[in-house]
Amino acid sequence: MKRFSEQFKKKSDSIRLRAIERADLRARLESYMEYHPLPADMKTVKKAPVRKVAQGLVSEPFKAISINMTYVRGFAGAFAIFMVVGIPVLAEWSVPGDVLYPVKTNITEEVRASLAFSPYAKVQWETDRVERRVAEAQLLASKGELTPEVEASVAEAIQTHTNTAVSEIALLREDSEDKAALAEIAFASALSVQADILADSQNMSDVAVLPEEGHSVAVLANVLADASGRADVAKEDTALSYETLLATIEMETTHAYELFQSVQTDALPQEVSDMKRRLDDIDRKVAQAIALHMDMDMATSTNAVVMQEVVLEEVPSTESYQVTSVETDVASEINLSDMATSTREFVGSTTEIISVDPPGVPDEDIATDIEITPSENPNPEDIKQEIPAGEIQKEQNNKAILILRDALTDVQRLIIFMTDLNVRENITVEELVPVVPTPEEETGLIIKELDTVLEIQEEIIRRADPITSDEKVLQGTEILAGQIESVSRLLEEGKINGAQKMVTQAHAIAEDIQKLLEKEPRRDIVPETKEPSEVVESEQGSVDSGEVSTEVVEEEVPVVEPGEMPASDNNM
Amino acid sequence: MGDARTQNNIKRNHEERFLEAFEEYGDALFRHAFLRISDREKAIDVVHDTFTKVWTYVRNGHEVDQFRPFLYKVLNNLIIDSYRKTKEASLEALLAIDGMDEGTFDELSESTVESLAATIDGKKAFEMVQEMPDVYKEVILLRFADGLGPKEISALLEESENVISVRLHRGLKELRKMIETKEKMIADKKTKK
Repeated sequence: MKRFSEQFKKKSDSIRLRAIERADLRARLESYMEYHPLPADMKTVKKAPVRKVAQGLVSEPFKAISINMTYVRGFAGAFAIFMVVGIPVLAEWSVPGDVLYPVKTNITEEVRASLAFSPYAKVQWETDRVERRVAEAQLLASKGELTPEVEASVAEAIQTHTNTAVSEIALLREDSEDKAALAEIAFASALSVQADILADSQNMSDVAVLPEEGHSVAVLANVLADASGRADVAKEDTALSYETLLATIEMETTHAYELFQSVQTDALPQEVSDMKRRLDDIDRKVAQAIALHMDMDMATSTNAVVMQEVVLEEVPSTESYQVTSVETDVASEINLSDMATSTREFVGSTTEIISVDPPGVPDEDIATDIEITPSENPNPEDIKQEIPAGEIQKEQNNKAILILRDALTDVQRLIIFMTDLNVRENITVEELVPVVPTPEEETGLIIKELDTVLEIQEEIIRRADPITSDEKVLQGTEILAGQIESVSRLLEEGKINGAQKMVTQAHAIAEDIQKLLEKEPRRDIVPETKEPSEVVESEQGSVDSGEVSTEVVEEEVPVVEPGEMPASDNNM
Repeated sequence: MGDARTQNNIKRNHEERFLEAFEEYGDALFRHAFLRISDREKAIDVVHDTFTKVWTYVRNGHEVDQFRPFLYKVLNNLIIDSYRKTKEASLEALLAIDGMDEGTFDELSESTVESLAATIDGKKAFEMVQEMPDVYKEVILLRFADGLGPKEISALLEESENVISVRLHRGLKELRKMIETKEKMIADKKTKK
């Protein structure tokens, strides 16, 4: 044992701290002692046996009342977090009149306003604030708590935010015209949605009784309609480049698609198909604009086509005119100095068509005299067009841009519809983003109308007698035939707008002829033929408003059932 | 004699004594730690922590009569703590049970421990001891490297002397076995050449 322990010890003694290690360790300890010096009033405690001493290093005298600091710290932390985070979160749900409402509007919202760094973001945020005010007001109104005072303060807030947005847009304009234009469009889209919602609820309440106290949003509806109107005007004025617009649309449509994907599982089938339809409509518009833009280079050749068509459509008859159209959207009308009557306009049609001079008018005149007169339904797509090639390109570019602007507004409104529950509850998607009929759908409608016209034509042919019938009837029938033919041709050529115009005219003329025919059995009662014949002549001589002639005819001739002998009324 | 001076004296007293303890026991503590933990850096840190803890104890007003057992106690606890962080805890737990039973009669007497120890080569034993399970290492080192008596070890480990005795005995046996196994291996290798 002794040997063992000696040997053992001897070996173990070889293990020791090196000098450096020892010095190092000592230095560490000394500095530790310095940082943790003995207290000033050091007292020595009774010696404790090793056993007890070893049991714990916490000294008894220093343990008076033990407050578990962990709990205190925890509670203090939780309370601080509640104050800083919890209250603003709770404030988010407040409405005007609540205690926490000022926290929401003056603190949280202002902080967010200052956090928005770009003017673009600021505009968006101010728009959001307007939306919030509208939603709050609606909530209160539904509960009957929207007093006039509160309504007025909300209106004021809306004004403030709108003005801020407008000035931010002005700031943005200094930086980039494009950005300002985009901001304006987004702003106008959002405002228009809100205005529509309020207008809607107005209409609904007007139907019944006057809204009770606390439920009316009339003032707000007006304010928003006004703001929305001004925003719409403003956005038209700012120029926007095609490329920027196209890029923005791409982004927004992608966003809309993503939203659409995410709601597909939850939404009703009807809702899904509604939204899909709108997305398709927007895609078509964009494609149309792109095609138009690409066609810019082909402008000169298009011109040639125009001229060609213009020439080809001439008909030998001196009194008859042919109508044709150029392009789907661009159209113009020639002012003919020969015409006794003033410029013909279409009531109820949306674009103009070209009418060609009777032969004898030199082609050059046609070429240089093309002018557009505004139709009664102003269409943003009607623009002044001049034949010179460069101008055509510019006009096409503008056209494309206008279509894209429309599409962008549609996308934005659609996105608002998809993302805002408040919007969905108050307005239908059809009101917000009306369906745009596809070319196929339009064609279908035209064909339907054409069928109707053909039916009438059949009847006319049956009843009219080449010998005894009124000359006007006969001439009208010829024109009608020609028009029907044009409709088919235009449809084949894909000129849907022109075909639409034509079929409407044909329809009107056919009905007129029909009325004339109905008069025929009672030829003796057509004394004031002047008016009817004038009407017929003007039908022949120009493209007259179908309504006017119909009205005139109806004035004079009481409706006669075929075969029935009139009892009286020889007033004409 | 002013209170201030007395105070200073007392303070200096404490500081001096503490540092003296370091000088005297620092190496031994390091040795023990190193033989248990086998990592030099860690061993130094453990020793450092031991002393700082003791210093804190002194600061809190406790008088330490004998630094040595106290230092060992703290050191041992720290070593066990560091073991808990590694996986040897489970092994230790297994082996701790080993020392719990009273042991056979012949294991109880100190003399058997001595006579058993006499049969083992101290040098070789030392080389093998690091590879032993900690529960045995502990007692063997405390007994033979640090030179603590059975009573001291018992107080330190807070086990009865019986248990310590049994553990020592079994530890030594284990050591012997390990040595013999190793020697056999070496012998086998030699014959193969």
